[in-house]
Amino acid sequence: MIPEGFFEGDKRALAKLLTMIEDGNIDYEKFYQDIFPRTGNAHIIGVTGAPGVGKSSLIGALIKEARKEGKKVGAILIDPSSPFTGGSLLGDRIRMQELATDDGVFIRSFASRNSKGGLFKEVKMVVDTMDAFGFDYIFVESVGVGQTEYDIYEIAHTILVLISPFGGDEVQIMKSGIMEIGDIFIITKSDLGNCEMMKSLVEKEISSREGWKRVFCTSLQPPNGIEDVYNAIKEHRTVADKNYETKVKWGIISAMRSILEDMLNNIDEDKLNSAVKEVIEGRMSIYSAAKKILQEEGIRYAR
Amino acid sequence: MRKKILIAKLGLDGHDRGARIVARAFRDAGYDVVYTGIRQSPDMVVNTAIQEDVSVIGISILSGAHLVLIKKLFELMKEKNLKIPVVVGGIIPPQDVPKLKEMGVSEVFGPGTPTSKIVDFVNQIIGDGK
Repeated sequence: MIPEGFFEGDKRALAKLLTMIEDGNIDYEKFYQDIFPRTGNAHIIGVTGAPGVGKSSLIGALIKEARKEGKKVGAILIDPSSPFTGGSLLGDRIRMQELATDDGVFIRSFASRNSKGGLFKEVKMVVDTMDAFGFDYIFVESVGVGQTEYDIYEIAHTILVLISPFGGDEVQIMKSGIMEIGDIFIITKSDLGNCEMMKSLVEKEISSREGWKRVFCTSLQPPNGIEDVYNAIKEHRTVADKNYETKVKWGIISAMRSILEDMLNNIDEDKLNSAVKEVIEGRMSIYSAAKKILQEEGIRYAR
Repeated sequence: MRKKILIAKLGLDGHDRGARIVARAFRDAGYDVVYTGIRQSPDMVVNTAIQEDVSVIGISILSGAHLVLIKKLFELMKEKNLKIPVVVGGIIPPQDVPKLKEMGVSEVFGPGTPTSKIVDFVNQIIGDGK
């Protein structure tokens, strides 16, 4: 089930496996048996922030820094799906397309499929697959998010939160949400000005929070501050080595989710239809119908 | 089953207005559209198609360099054993269309083609995404 050549470093095999995961066309048991044990070496970096703040461009610049040290880098770029047609325009690559011919880099775009947390459902498996393939760094760029989309917190060692230099006043920065999950805060487009002002607001806010935090101003035209961010990412890894137990725990939770999903997709149509009839004829509530079907599938739910 | 297409401008064209219109049409037809924009080399297109695992490549060219660039594209695809359909749009003189098809191009669409015609054609050659 793992495409031939995957363990020998064939990028086509990697690409095919990612498609199988994306399509849900995969033997989950084999996956957790063959892929999961090979994970744990990559440094996973989540990148989040509002649309247009510069996530893709910064990732492109950071990948170039990592390549100077000969590190192998994977990138997972997520853009939104249309809730109406299901289609998407995956346009993040355009900011780093000069890396397309670099053998040590693998970039893959995904559509969010209307997941609400800024990522997509299978992203954990995609990250594990790239990890097992042998990348040193894996960047995960979330959909340009607002204030509450922090799924990325669960999968990354280090979280970069990007903020525009005109991103709001002190009260904006004080709000709960993505400001709390960041390890490294980056005020982008410093060439536009106001960066130091914004930086001091962010510094003031995070000074009240515990733990390792850093704030930088960056610009790409001309490039400025990128190396500092890269070094901070490396430094953060020494304090953020999520322990293996946590990782296995998340693995189990994600596997349970896959199994349940699979089960739900394969509920017997007749059983479902007879439950619909019971509900419509008033003999059963929707909730108890759902519980009954699950019970018949052998899932006990106490409450 | 997802449908995924790569839309790229091959060569040194100055603008990508047409390519973006086509990209929007595929997006609205339910495709995941990987859009790489202008100044792509054949190498970049082939590597991107492999990494993104698209079902079809859409190339837009208006510079006049299509014969050289498309030839190179198919050479690289062969070298990397990438077997997916390629459709071409842009400014292609009629006498060059058979030459491109001989190289392996599935179809060539000129200015004024309704986008629905392009989408229908691609739906058909990739078997409606299956």
